[in-house]
Amino acid sequence: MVIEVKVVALLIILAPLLAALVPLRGYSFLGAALIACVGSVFAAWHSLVEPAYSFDLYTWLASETRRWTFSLTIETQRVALLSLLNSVAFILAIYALGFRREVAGRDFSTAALVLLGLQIAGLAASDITFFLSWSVLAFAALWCGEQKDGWGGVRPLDRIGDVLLIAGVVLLLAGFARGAVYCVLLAICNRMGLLPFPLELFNAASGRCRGWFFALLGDLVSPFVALVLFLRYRAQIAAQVEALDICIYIGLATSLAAVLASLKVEDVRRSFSLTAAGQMGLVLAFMGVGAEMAAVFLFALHGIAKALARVAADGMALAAGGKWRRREFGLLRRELPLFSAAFCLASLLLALGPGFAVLWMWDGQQPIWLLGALAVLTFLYSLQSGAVLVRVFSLPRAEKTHAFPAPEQASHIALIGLAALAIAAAVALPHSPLNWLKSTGAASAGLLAPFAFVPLAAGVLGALLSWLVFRGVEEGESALKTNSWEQCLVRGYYLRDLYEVGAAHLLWSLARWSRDVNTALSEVALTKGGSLLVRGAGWSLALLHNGRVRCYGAAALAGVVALLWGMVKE
Amino acid sequence: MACGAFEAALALVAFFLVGADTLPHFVVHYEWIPSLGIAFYLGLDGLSAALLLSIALVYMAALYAARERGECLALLCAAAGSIGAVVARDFFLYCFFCELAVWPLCLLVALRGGLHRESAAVQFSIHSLLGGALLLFAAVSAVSQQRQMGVKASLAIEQIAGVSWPLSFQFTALVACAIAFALRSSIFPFHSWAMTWHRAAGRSASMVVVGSVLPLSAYGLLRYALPLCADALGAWQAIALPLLIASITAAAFSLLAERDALRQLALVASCQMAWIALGISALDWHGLQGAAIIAIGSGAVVAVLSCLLVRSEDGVADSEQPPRRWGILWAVLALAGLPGLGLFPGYFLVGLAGVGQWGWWIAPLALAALLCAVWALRFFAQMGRSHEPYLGRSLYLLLLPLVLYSCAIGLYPSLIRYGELAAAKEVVATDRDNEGAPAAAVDSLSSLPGVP
Repeated sequence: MVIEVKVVALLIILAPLLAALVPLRGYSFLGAALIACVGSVFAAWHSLVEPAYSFDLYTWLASETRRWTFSLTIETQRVALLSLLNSVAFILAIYALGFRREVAGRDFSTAALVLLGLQIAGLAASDITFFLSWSVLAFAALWCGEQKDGWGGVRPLDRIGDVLLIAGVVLLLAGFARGAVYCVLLAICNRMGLLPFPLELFNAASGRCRGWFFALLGDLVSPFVALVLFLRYRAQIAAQVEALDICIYIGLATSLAAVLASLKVEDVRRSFSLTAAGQMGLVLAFMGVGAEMAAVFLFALHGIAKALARVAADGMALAAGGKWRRREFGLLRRELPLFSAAFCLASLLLALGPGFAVLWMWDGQQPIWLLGALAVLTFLYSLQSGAVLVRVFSLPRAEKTHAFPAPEQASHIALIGLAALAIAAAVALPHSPLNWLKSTGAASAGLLAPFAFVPLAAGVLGALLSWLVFRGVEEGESALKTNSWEQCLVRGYYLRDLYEVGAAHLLWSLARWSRDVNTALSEVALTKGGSLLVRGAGWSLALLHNGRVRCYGAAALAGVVALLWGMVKE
Repeated sequence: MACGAFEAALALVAFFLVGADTLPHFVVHYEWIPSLGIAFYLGLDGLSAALLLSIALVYMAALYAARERGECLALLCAAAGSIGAVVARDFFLYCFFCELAVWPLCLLVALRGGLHRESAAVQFSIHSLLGGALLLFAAVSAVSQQRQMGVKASLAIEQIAGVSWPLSFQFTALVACAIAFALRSSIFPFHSWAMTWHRAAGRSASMVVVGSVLPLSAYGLLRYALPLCADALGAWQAIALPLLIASITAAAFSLLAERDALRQLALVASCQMAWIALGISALDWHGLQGAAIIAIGSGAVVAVLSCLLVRSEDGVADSEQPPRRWGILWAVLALAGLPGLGLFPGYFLVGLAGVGQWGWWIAPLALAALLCAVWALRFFAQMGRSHEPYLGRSLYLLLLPLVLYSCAIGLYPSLIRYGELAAAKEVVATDRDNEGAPAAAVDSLSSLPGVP
């Protein structure tokens, strides 16, 4: 049995590697995804019936006191998640191959690299092996966009995560536990796209990338790698009490900023990125609270639902002539009913995910303000998803104006498969695997009764309000038109007024502010500002060649010395 | 070209025969100047065999890229010097062969170089001459010191590592060796000669400097300077750290400001050399191992990058060159520290040693690593867009062994073993008993993790 599981572990790593080297028009990627899916399910089953198993591939480097090995481990929690994500990856591969055949082999190679990063992260036993997966992912992410968009600007930010992680590992080896924990936390934030990094990291260079590819990279693999990193270092993080508090604050702040920004975003790709950052913020907050099972549940549900949403949006954008605006999607619901329905289902699941997770998180140990904050966030997510639903369903249907390729059977299979998986995750996950996770020592679920209705009620209220508001907005009815009170009641105008007076103005202001702040932070402060700063410093140093700066430096030094001398004398 | 290929084949065979053994193989020993204790002493151990292979592969590609007979002649002379310096096991012989490696290149560039060739040749020769003179001064001082101590004078590696050098001598030797290393390996701010050189020199001469001359300087520092002045280095660690960190960070900043690709090449090589010096200054097994890996790996990687850059001699751009783009991508990712491509183990080990030795003071190194990564991506974006002149399939194929060798180092860094530290530690232990070496120096070496 040991030999078999070793072979399977090697196979699920080698298959994506081979697929990356030999694209074969995407068929090798499909095969690799299938092998990884079946292999990880086998490994998960093995881990349930047998104790955890680790083995070394080879010794990378050794000194008399230390030995670094490339080693793999079959650990229940990670392998179970891996098998779930591999299933999604396999369905995405079906979609990509069936509906996006024009994709170049190089894109499939990159996707296979992402898959490789996922497998290594899921099975890595040593820090060096894990860092390899981390870097493979960064390497694959280089191909996310057009060169002019990404290479010189936002992509290097991703390298920040690499440097932070290796700095954390080195600090830990050298005995600086506190510094190591903060480096690791920052690396996690980088890979999840959380504050203080730009929230739209994985969307910033999305020129050439397809929806399915982003689903794989941005919503599944990158957050998974960050989550695994947290799980690997949870003992060290938990040893620093304030680190857990920081996780909660960063998570909540990111979630709030992201959901507010996404309320006013019309481009679906940006909306997806912001939602991913927001929900990953909640995942981090749950980890900070100690509710691992809620975090894992939200992560899995978000990953699957977002994959469904991305794939559906990808098909609709293709039909809409490459436009990724929500309004265009709404106009296409007659032409692409299955895609529209899948998109709406995914939006609904994304809205309800945080609420479900809050139910599973609450065990009476957490402060009440946290529950309130999470309820507000759940409400906002519902509002945001409600806006999406209203856009898709409330607009008049379009005449067939777009010339688009007819969706093929493979895309329908992928959509239905993903939808089934997403519903299963939402319904079944809280019952079996979470109970199993609970038995592994995670926080227990309970004491839900007094607050169980809060997130659900907030979600329903948010969806209702957004429906009414947007419906009124889209109808374009004059505000001066006289209506009877019954008509006002039927059309929901009272509720709309209540919403607009009480919340809308504030929310929209916050949304604009948040969006602008995020843009400013990411594009101006971090990239343009940083670039200017770095370039300025570089030019100053480059002047060292002609000696002028040395004179200026000497003069400045003399001035400082004179100043200090004066101060000392006084 | 045939000569270069033969040389590379021999180096490969020697590499497999020697393996990671720290004892010398293929030893040749003749007395050369007995009164000064100088011997014609050659041999190969694990570290020198690994460097020899890298240098031989660089010369093979450089000889193919040479345009005319005179250039080939100069390169062959330089190859003789470089290989001699690697296989030498005598300090004086090392200095001699280093000079032999440098002067043909100076002449080559002075006669056949491009823009500002006179300036480039003069700057290179001045820096090399000054560095060589300082090394020679250290060697002669070592002989004189041995006579004063009543020991039979010798500059063989074993003797240098075995003698208990007085601390006052060590400080003198350290200053001489450190300045010599900085001048020859173009460490910031002594890098101006390299920036002129790479613009003036042709492809071959540029490749040879980054792939052979600079690694040789690092090799000399590891092999001869460290055993000669380990205690003094330990005492001055606190001075070495800020200087080297400033050098690495400043070179990384300048990389981002510099527009010319060939000048960027000089800066990135300078950055690598400063990393090597930092690893050595940590006086830790991990740091020395990391320095050795960077010295060998960066020679191969930067030589490939140097070969693939467009130069004025290349003529008119004709089409897109996928192998060139892939090669540049590989090189910049390796320089950025992507695991498996050659330099990551070196960065990792140097960082680990640095944190162990200096704690949080090493933090700016993370910034420098990040800046290098940003540069790498920007560099590739700038290089990879336009149509470029065709280099020829054979040259791409000749670069492939360098790429594979570097990847092999990245995947299995134990291929390269630095085995001289135990001897250096013995030196320190003896000094502690006899001379009363400073406590900091003694502690830094006697408490080395990884050294029995």
